[in-house]
Amino acid sequence: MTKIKTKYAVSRRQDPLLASQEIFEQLEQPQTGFVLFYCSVVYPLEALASSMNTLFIDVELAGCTTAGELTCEGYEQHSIVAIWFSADFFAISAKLIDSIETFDLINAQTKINQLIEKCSEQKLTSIKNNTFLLTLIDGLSTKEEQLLSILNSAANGIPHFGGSAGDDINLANTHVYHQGKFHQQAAIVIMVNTLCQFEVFNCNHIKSSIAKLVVTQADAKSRTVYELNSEPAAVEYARYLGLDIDELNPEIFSLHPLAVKIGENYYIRSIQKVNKTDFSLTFYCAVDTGIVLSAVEMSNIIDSLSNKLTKLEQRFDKPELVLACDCFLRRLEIEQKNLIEEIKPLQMQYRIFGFNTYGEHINGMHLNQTFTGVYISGELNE
Amino acid sequence: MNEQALIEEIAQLKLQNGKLTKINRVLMQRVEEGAGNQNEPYAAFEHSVNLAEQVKEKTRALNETLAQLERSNRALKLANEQANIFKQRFIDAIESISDAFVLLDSDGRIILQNSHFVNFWNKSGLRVEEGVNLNDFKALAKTRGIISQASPGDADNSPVYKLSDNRWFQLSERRTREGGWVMLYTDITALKVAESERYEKAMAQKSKLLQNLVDNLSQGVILLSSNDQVEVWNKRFVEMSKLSTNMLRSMPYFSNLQSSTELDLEPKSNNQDDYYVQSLSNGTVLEIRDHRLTNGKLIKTFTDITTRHRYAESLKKSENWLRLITDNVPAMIAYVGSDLKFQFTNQVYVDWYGWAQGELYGLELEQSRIHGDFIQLQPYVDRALKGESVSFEIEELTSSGAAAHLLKSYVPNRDSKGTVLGFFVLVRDITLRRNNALALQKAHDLLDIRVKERTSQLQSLNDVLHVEVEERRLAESNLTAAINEAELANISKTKFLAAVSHDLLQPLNAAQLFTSSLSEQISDKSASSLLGSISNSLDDLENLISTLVDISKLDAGVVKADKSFFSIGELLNNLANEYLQITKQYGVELHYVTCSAIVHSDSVLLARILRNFISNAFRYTDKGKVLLGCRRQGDSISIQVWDNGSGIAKDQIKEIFKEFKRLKSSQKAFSNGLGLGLAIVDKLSTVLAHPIEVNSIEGKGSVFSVNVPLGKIDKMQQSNDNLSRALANTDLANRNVWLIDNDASICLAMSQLLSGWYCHVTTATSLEALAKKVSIKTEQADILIVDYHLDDDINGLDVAIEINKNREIALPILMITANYSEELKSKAKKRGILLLNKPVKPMKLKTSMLYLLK
Repeated sequence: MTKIKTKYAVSRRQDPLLASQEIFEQLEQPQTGFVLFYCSVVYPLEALASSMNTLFIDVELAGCTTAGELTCEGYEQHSIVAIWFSADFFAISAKLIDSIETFDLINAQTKINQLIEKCSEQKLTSIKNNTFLLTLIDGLSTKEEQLLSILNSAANGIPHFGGSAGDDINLANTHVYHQGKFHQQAAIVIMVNTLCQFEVFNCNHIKSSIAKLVVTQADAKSRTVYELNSEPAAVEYARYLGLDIDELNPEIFSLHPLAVKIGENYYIRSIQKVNKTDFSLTFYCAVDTGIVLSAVEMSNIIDSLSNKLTKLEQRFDKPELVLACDCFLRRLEIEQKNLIEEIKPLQMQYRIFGFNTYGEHINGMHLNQTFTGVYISGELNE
Repeated sequence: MNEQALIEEIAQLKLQNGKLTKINRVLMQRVEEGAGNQNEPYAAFEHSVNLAEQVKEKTRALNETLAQLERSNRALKLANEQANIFKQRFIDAIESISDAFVLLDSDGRIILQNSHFVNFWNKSGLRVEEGVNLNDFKALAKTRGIISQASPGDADNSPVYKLSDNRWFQLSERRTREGGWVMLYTDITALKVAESERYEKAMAQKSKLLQNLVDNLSQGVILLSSNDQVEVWNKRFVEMSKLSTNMLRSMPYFSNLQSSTELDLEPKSNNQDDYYVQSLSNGTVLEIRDHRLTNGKLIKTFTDITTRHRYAESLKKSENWLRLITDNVPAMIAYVGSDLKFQFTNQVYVDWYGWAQGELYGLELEQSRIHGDFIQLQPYVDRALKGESVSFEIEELTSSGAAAHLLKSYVPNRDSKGTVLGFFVLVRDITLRRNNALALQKAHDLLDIRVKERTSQLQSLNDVLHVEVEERRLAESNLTAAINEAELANISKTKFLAAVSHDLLQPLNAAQLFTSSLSEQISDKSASSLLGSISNSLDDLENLISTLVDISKLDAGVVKADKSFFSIGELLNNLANEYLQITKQYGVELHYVTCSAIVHSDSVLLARILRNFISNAFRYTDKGKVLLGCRRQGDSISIQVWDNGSGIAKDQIKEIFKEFKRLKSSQKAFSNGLGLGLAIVDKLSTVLAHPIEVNSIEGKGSVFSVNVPLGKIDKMQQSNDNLSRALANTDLANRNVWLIDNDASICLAMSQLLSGWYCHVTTATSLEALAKKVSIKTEQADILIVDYHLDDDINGLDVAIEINKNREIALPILMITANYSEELKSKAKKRGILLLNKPVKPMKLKTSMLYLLK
């Protein structure tokens, strides 16, 4: 008999206690292992944190708030999604980075070492080649790039992916959860050591560049672009789209993304909002004066993901599950293009669990409008 | 284009230029600063991307390398696996061999070993591990004494090691390519053990043989080690010493044993030939010898010389006795050897000659003469030495000088070859005897005269007596003549009867045979009845002759009782049955009481007696009763025949036993009685030694009885078995019968009779005649019938023997004779010839033939 490696649970109940209990019951009251959960910000987070903490006593919990949840049954909203990992196959430990501001390489190295130590204690398998990192960062911290860069230096080649916590596009309070508490301006680094084969991957659907926009004035810290092509940024963006400034909204942003080209590749810089006061644009990720933003044409969002997963399946056989950090803008695109039902089969087939992010992380990079995750195979490493 | 338009265009271009200038500026600034400040978020991102690209590129290269590495790894793994399999197979292989295996490198260090090798050392308490130098290890094993013996090998033999636990190992080794060694230690313990067992067995066999040999010595033997410990002994020693074998097995010191045995065990001397004698309390006398061996060991032998000792003792005793006797015999006795030296003299001899005892030994006879003259003796001595016993008388002077008359006898002593070794001398002083003899001679002379006178008186008396004797002798010779005459008469009667029986029986026999064969041919009733009368008459005639012959035989004393043990009941049954048939004819009633007693008698002769009794009773009892029965009388049985007939007067009782005496009272009796019956009975009773008794009351009846001794049942013989078996087969058809009879008429009659039984008959009057008719040697025949009396003094017995001598398969022979002599009977019996007495009756002939053919 094949042992159960993972279980998942979904609760749509709004009462934090009942929802926690439902999650606990669906996971069959686990006494060992690790639970990763993603929850909507509609829940009273303190109450939720305490009820979860009360129920899961011997099980370590980590998670974050979302801009939408993802299960193998499809997209969820205002729910809690939880995934339990069996200790027989996974040695998982998590560390909270509570002050991103002061996070430096030494801190990073310490955290990584602690995580390796904790995972090794469980004596499941060697760290090397059998381990990946999952990062969950407060999505409104605007510090992802630095943090990830430092962490990546310390990780010493351990594959990494992650996502920035969302809050249903409220852009108000994004949290990460660890040790019974929700935190802001914080990050969680989770180290997963497993017997299963896996691969961290990233997928976008940029087709080609249509136009170039030069950032002539910007504030890197606040990720705000004031001018594009020496014009107020929003005005220039709207003009390029042939729209009024007032018509600009996240849906438009999702359909008409801007990207920077580094080397051969384009990396989308998603627009968070229009600042009406000066018609500047605030982005979800780092921007700077002098960079060239390309307006890009997108290809079929479903095919690109399907192709990617098919290739992975060919390499790793059937998935146990796919942990996903799926940009909320992709969801917006799909919703606008009425592709929800079309993407569902993929979600089911590949058992995709995760959340809609404000930004995705892969190998030290902070990206937008991508599908980033880890493909965990049902096959074990030899 | 108007100015306004131009101005607008200029403004437009200025604006455009301003924008482009700015764009240009920021771009240049960007290019110049680049990702200089990584702390800037975008720079950090850019850096990350670049890093990621580099990482990606590196990863790709790495992956390729990894893939290559993986491939080579896989190949290596495969190779490793292969190697492991081979190694495992190799290990399995070396494990599977029963020998201890070890592989050494060029320095003698162990590279590989199998568990046998490890166990081999582990058992010895040494741990042998890989990397250990085997030579050091062996040296250690030797110093620890684990290897107790090592024989280095040579070109032909592998080295062999013996371990302290008695295991043996043979080493086979071989150099490896890199200069190391492969060594195989084969456990050859079993082989060695078998070998040594064989050797020990052989040794044990030898020592057993030796021990047996020693044990079977009549001497007791014990071997002592140089430090006087017991090493070997034999059974005889145990018997003699009465020491327990267990005690001896402990190899005790000799001195410790001495207290436990009577035997003198102390080593006495080193001289090989010395011995001493010990007498034990049980009377055993032992001769003990010590034999010191060159290796310091000592063999002591104990020989039981009791018998020898006793013999010597008794010899000594008897010598003493002899001495005592000879010394006290009143005769001089001496023995002189052929060298004429005295070897023995008795006291008397010595005394007579005045020598002291023992002085004469070894002294020559000639020198011993003190008083006598040796020349006088010389001739006698010479004769004695030549082997002649000589006696002579001689005058010699005694030591006191008186003349004495001596009778000397020299008897030569010869050894087994007849050589004279010396002679015995016996000398008797016959001086006194001689004087007596002279006196006697004188008295004799006087007596002679008186005898002569007396003789002449007796002579005259004798003459008178002579006359008387002569008269008596005459009378006696007369008497003898009379007796001779009477005997002659008797002999002639017997001869006559014998002749009559033979000469009469011959034609009678022929007549009977003719009649018999005739009766088988004639069917006419009247003729047949007439023939029956003839046959009866012939039978009567035969009876009469038989009886006469019997009487003559009894008189001649040729009839001898052939006694055996048999049941009297059977005989009585037969007789009763026989006579019950004819009770009507005589008008009597026959009763009989059977009896199961076993008697010792001749059944034929006894039956004859009883038949006479019964037929007499039948004859002399008119319409009365006859009873046949037995009465036991101690060790014998009285068989009695009672009748209530006329009885016999007392004075007549003796008469009836005389020949031809018959009581006149019975007419019936006369009809076919001869008056010979009781005469025969009387003679038979004498032959059988069965007393006959008669009691009779005239007018009331008589009882005749015969007294037969009782026998034992187990001695009874079943002699009639053969006959009854013969009768079972009555088929004589197609049998080839040869018949020799000098009487042609008998030949004819027999031929007719036998043909009637479908036999093929060849008749001849002599052997020569038969030889002309058939090929005696080869022709098939079933039986030979031969008459005893043939012409020209040839007898049938010789003829029969002659015929069978030439035949491969001897013919059964039936001999017909009127000669009833026992001599012939036994002769015939000896040769397996069946004798048939004349007259031959057809039935008897048939059964006899059947018996022979059987």
